[in-house]
Amino acid sequence: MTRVVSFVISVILTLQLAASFDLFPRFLSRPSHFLWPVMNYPMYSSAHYEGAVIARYRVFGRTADGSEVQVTADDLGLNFRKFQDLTIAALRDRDVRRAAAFAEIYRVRMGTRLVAMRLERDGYVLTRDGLQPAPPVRLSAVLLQAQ
Amino acid sequence: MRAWRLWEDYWFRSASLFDLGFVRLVAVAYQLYHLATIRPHALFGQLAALPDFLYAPLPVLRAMMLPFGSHFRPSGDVIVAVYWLTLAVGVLAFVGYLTTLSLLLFTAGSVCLQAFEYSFNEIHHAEAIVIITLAVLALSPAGGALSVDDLLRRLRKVDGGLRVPSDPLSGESRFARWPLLVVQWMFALIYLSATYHKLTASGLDWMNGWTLQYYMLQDAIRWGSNVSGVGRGYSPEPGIGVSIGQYHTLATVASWVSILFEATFWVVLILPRLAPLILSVGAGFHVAIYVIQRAPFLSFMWLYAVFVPWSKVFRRGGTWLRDRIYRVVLYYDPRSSRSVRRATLIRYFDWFGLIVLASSPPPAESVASATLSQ
Repeated sequence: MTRVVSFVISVILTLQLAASFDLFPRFLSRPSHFLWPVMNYPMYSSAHYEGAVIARYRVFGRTADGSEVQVTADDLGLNFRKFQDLTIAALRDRDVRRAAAFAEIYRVRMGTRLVAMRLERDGYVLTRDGLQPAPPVRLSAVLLQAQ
Repeated sequence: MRAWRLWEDYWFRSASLFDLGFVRLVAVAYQLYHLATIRPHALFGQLAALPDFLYAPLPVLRAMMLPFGSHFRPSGDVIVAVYWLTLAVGVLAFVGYLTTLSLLLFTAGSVCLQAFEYSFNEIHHAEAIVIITLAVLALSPAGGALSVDDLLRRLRKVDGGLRVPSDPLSGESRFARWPLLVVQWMFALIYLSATYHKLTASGLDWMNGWTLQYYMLQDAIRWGSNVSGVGRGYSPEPGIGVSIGQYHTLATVASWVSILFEATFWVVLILPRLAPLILSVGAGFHVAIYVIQRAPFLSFMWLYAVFVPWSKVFRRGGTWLRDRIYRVVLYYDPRSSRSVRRATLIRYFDWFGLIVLASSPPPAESVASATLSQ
């Protein structure tokens, strides 16, 4: 019995060791959460410096009649994280196929067809004198279909 | 052979079943609480309604759904049904009825629910160690103490002729130590993983103060003071982190404390005497990031329970209390199975040893008569 349990212990700890130090991507070509709940813990690991922008993104859509609407996470039935990591990432990467898929979700949920989407960033700048407002910056626009 | 003996001595040294049973209570209670805070129809219904291009099932969910077809995507109703079954079986795992089976089913249900939630391109970290803890408990004699199973076993011994109520803190097993050690090692590896990624991604710049200020302010603005790191984001009421995050020197010191804590947590495995210090720092660390950033790693604090020798804590607590309070004396009749059963039942829940159980002289036959003595 101790040999069986020893095998179990070895497997669990070896997998966690491999996940902790990102060995899965190197040896298995799979992300470190491939064997969830065994996973790596890379949160908050990027360094930031004075002048960094704490960004807040806004998504806007242009309708067929030329008017512009703000598209929120609620409109798409997404929470903040999914909106940030999927919708905004798709627009930032100018991924037309994914952006069109989110526009389709918007059409189904809100009843309005979007022909283009764009991403805007504002937020705050981190300075020695505290947070200062960052001016809005237009990051990208995606044309979803020929008008 | 010597290495094997050392290995066996480390993982399979006889240890307290009470400690293991107590951790079962803590881990299952946490997971039950976590599940109880979910609104299953809202959460799983919303996820189930998302289009297929957002669905990226984790391998563990794929494996669990394999009997229904390799491309089976569970509906919201199926997941809600799993949710209620998991809650029900979790209650059994908590009280310790058919403990191994109920823990296995509770773990499987929890894995299914959490994996489904994380199969839409969004993965969080706080629940993984809870799932792993439940899994190792399910493979251990976690029902050997503090369980209905154990209580029934003790009562059956009374029927078999045992005439003395047994001490609930005294049971031991050579398989009671490894699950707690595995979770302890998991903690060490998790904190080392966090350190590794910070230092490989950023080097010493991670401790420049700006980095922690950035994350504190970002999360405080996103989550505010009235949400829990999930949901719509951008609370109208910015959290306390917006105030604290303005202090650069404080952030620099906190960065160094964080990295030193994460990098050295493993020391507790070698020097368990330092556990009170290290776990206190850890608890402060997780409370702080919850209050400031709403990063909900409170599960870690609950599971610090694996580092605590609970049977010793209760024995010492009992010794301390017995010197300060009057103890109740209950008499039982050793000739009567019914009387010994009652005494066994009372003794089972008297973790501090505050009740004196004395065999009564004939013809007393119940534990009903009670007197007070010092």
